[in-house]
Amino acid sequence: MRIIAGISNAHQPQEIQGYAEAGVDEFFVGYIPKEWSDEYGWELSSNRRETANYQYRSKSDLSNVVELIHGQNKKVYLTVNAHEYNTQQTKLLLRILESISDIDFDGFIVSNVGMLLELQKNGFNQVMNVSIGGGSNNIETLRFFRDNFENIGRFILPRKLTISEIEKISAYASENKIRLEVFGMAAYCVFNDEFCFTWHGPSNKCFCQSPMFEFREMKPLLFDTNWKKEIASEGVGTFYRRLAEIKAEVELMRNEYLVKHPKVKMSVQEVNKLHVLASLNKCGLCAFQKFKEWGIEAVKLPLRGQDFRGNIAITEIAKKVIDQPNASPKYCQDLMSSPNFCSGPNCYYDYPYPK
Amino acid sequence: MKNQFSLYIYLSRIEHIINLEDTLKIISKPEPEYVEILDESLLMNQLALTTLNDYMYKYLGLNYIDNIDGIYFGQETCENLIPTLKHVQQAVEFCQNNEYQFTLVTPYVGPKGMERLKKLFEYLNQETSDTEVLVNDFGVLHLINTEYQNLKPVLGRLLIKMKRDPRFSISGFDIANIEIPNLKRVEKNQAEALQAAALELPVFQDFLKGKGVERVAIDVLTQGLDPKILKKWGFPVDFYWPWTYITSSRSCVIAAYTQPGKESHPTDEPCKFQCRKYEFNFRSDKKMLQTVFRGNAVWMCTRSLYEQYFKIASGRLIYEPYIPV
Repeated sequence: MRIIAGISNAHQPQEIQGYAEAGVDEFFVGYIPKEWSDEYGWELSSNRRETANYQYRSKSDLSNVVELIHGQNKKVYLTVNAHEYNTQQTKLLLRILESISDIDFDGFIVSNVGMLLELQKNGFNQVMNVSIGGGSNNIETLRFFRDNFENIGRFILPRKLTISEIEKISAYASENKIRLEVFGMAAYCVFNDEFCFTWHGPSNKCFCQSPMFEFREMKPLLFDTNWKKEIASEGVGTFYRRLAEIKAEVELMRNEYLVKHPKVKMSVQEVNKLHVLASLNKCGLCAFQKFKEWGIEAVKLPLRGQDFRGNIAITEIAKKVIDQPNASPKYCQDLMSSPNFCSGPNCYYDYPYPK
Repeated sequence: MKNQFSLYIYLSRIEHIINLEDTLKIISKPEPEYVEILDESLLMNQLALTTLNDYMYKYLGLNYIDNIDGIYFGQETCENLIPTLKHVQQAVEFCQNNEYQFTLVTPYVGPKGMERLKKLFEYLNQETSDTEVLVNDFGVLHLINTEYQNLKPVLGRLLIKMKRDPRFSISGFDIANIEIPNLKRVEKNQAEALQAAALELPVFQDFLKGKGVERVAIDVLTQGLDPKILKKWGFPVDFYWPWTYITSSRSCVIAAYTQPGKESHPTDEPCKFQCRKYEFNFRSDKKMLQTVFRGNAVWMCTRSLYEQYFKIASGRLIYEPYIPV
């Protein structure tokens, strides 16, 4: 199983060797030249990152980084995976891609079906990996892309699939020689990227990280489908009692869960690992052994724009698990050496599984 | 004469269909102590119905209740809430008895959800003719194309991914001024691009037509939609109103609330249907349209945009009496 990681102009070119030595086999990059940002700024990116420091800006920087990566005998993909493009954006993006056609990418990462069709129509014969934006949540979506498009490379499975769903999809994929990539560690979001239409970027903080979302308030639903009849026939006291009952029921569910899953305190030793744990936010390490057994081709470490030291530590941990035969969850958790971090909520794939 | 749309009603609960008259009834204003405890979906049921009633009467000379062309039934964001076969049969029967067109609404799905949909498609494909299925997953479209060819796919709002965000629904968004020589130019281009989608690419339109898609559905959006742009899409365009989809997840944030410490609960694991018990409300320092987290999705109320959209709606108005969860 291979490791694929994102890099950008926030990383020094010389870091590439460090990533390669730590275990990264493939890289992906974004490219927003002046021609694009002069027209659409950063909010409407040509890929799924709406931030200047997640992109390369000049052809020479891009060419240089591709050369360095190939110099390490590693692969590199270009992200062309925004959710939507209008005609003008499509024309501009095709011109930009044409202008860098002498740079030898190993493929593109694409999500929008219209864009995929335009790329094919305009003679871009690169391998096309289907981004999580393609929404490959089921076997039929793999068939949809495979039956309708040439040069489909790998499918990047959405982060919200459970381990048993990935098992089903990968069984089909392996029988049909379809290549899969899954998220390994870091960059979790509670929403499905392929169906999240909110704003991101430096000026407009992600919805999922906004105070509005963080401080959401639970409100009991007091009525079912016959509410019009109910309010006509019942005194208001009935509903205030119902309000109290629902609140109590929900509180009870929360308490019961806490009793079964007590919180584990962070130890001093764990605090020393914060440079790794803070960058991670979520970890799928315990699932790597299954991924290997099921023939998943690559795990993605979306580390773009993050601290080099933390990124290298994360990559090294991932590589150790990949190289370890029969890497058990215990082996993985010992590597993390953080019982608090591994106590449940930080699991990408909701270990222990199946429930 | 104003542009005239066809009126379709979208419901996710069979009880709302069976009691359609009640679902679409404008009641006398409840006492303030009742209004206080009604959730947004219920309050909006009355406000939007009144808006619809007034508009159709005033501009089209029509009574909304007598001018319903069809019923949309189903679920777009959560596969655990896909209706049962029995409920679909009941909905179809109701539509046949009342001479309404029936459209099954489907969500994006994982492997188990796909199996649930197959049971519904099997029935509709064999027992009904030319039934519309609104798809929000290209895998579902492919399944219909390859195995259930009597069904007519409609491209759903989750496959036309134009940006929207409640935080910027009234206040507007900020443009990052990083190496931008001409902000005005960027502002203008962004405004244009935000009203558009890849559907305007002829190659995409031909592809979808080849897949049997004959119409598409989109949300009412605060950035406005230029009718000239919509014309370029090459399909009849239907509008959902008054609940605009914002975002959702197969890892349910509502279900996770009863599991303190967890951020989300996977769709594939047993569900206690907490979404029937509570919702999340939001507060913001920005002025914005009313927004709620109901089921596994965030919804924004765009009732106030009715005038702008009813005027340009020449396809279907897909009226949502309740948040479709």
